[in-house]
Amino acid sequence: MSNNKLYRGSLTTIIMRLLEQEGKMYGYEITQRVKELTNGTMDVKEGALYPSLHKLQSEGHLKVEAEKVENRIRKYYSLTPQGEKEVVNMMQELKEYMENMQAIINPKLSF
Amino acid sequence: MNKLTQEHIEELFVFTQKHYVEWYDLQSELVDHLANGIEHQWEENPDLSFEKALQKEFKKFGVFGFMDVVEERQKSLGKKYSKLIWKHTLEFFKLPKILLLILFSVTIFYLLRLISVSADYLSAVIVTLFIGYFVKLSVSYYRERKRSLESGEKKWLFKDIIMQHGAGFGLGLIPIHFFNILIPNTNSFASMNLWVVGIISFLFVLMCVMLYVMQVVIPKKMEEYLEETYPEYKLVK
Repeated sequence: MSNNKLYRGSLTTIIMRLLEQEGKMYGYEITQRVKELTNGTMDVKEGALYPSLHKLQSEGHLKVEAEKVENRIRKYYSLTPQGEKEVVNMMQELKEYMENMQAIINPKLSF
Repeated sequence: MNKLTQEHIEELFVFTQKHYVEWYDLQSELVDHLANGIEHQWEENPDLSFEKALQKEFKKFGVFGFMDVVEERQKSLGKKYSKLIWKHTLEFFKLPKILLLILFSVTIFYLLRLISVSADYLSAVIVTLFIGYFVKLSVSYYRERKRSLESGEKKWLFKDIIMQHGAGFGLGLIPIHFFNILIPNTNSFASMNLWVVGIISFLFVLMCVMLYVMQVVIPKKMEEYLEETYPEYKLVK
């Protein structure tokens, strides 16, 4: 994750969420989709993307299919049933995190 | 729109090889990524040379290039391998195989009780077994490597891990240091506490079972495991 280290810890959540919405994607597609969604402000670093994908796969959250596309092989990642459950947890955690950050940055004043 | 030719794709494979990615499974994924990136650049700037576009795309991987990708893949497949060893070893704790486990442990137990040899001998036997094991592993791996280089066949990371028994790291699973704790130097087994002899016998058999799993059981099912790990394995074999 390039421009900000704040994003770094969220990479797996981003990947999982995208796959939940899009079904199956390949690595390059993920980098492009993130760029598109954030209007080019967020850049997923390739050197971090593939390690994360492989890790999620070995943890059983993702499965992979291969297809011959033109003159090369393309690997598509998608969620496993276990991954579908995990993404719900991840979104919940992210939501709590965002709420907490919100509370710290913008404390509600009470009298 | 400009598309990459077959020659370009082959150049990309060579490129990944030069950047220390030996294995086809990783190479093919990285090649597809680089190819997509280059084609994308050509959409915006059709006059860009292949070389320049490639360099630009490679830079996005950061200063360590493909190293992070390779390392993480090795780590996660290494874990997968350890899990396989445990899975197959645990099968020996179910009927009917557990009977073998008990039978061998009891046999070793009685042998140790009967022969009043010094514990040093058992240590010596274990050390010899290990040295022999490493020599055999190195020789067979070296031969296989030479053979696959000569035949030009594709390399698969998980296959390498299985062939090298997790680079010998599989042995980290074996609690060999227990022997050092359990075996005091001068005692003979006949005079030792029965429980200690029992534990030593069991651990010794367990170690043999794990070696058997790494040496025989997993390699036998290698094709199955490779197909399960790599969906592209059948496509290109």
